[in-house]
Amino acid sequence: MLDFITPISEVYSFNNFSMEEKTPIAKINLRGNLKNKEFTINVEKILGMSLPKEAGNTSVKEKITLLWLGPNEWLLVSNVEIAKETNIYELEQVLFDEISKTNLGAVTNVTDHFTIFSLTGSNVFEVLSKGCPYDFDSEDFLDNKVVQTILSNIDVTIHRKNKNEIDLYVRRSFADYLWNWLKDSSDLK
Amino acid sequence: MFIIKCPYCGERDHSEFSYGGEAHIVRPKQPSELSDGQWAEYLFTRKNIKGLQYERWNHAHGCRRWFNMARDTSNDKIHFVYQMGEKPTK
Ligand SMILES: [Zn+2]
Repeated sequence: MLDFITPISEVYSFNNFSMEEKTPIAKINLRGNLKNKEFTINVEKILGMSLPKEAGNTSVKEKITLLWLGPNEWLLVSNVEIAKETNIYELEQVLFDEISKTNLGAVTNVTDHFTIFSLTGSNVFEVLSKGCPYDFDSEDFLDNKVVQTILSNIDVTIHRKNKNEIDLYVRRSFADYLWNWLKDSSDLK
Repeated sequence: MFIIKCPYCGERDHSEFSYGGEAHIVRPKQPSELSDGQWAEYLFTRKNIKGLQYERWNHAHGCRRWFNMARDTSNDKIHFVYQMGEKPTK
């Protein structure tokens, strides 16, 4: 985890669409059974916020964002960058001790598994629609909603910040391909 | 477009899903006591119905959860979906 090397080394902008990679942001995959009160209470006490329980919902606090990934799975994302040299995220250890070690759930650090593209501009959803089966005009897809779908044959997680801004989570090994695909696609013809 | 209703995420395009074959096949409790024929029967023999079939699906590119579906194989009409571990209501 030391010496973070970014897969993308440019910032791109074209025709009311710009993107840049956000690095390095701590991400933790959290799994557990919502029906197990001990799990829910402990997690919510440690994080100081409630877990999103409805499909596609998120919870945001100053330093943490929680994304719903499934009925027993969440992605915890830090809202602030972590130190590039050490890549240490204190919350991981706390969660690991209180949740993993006590067998209440699973805590997995996926910081280097995913990278995040920040996409902004009025053409964002126009560009995504070129390679994605999800209906971004759906009434369910409001600000602060999250959706997992396919973009140009790749699994992605899309977190809508507002109508002109999203965070796009992509597996690191696919980042270069998707970046180039997005560049191509933003040239709306 | 063929729309599937995931019991967790709601209506999504079929390209996000993958098919998991016939549902409600119970694994034999004592595989070692079965003949090769009986074991092969469990592993490979499927009903291959024309009409209403109970099958397993996975929302592979979405929430990654498994669920069951009652689908008419002759016209792809999806009658209902239900969670893993549940019995079909009809
Ligand atoms: Zn789903």
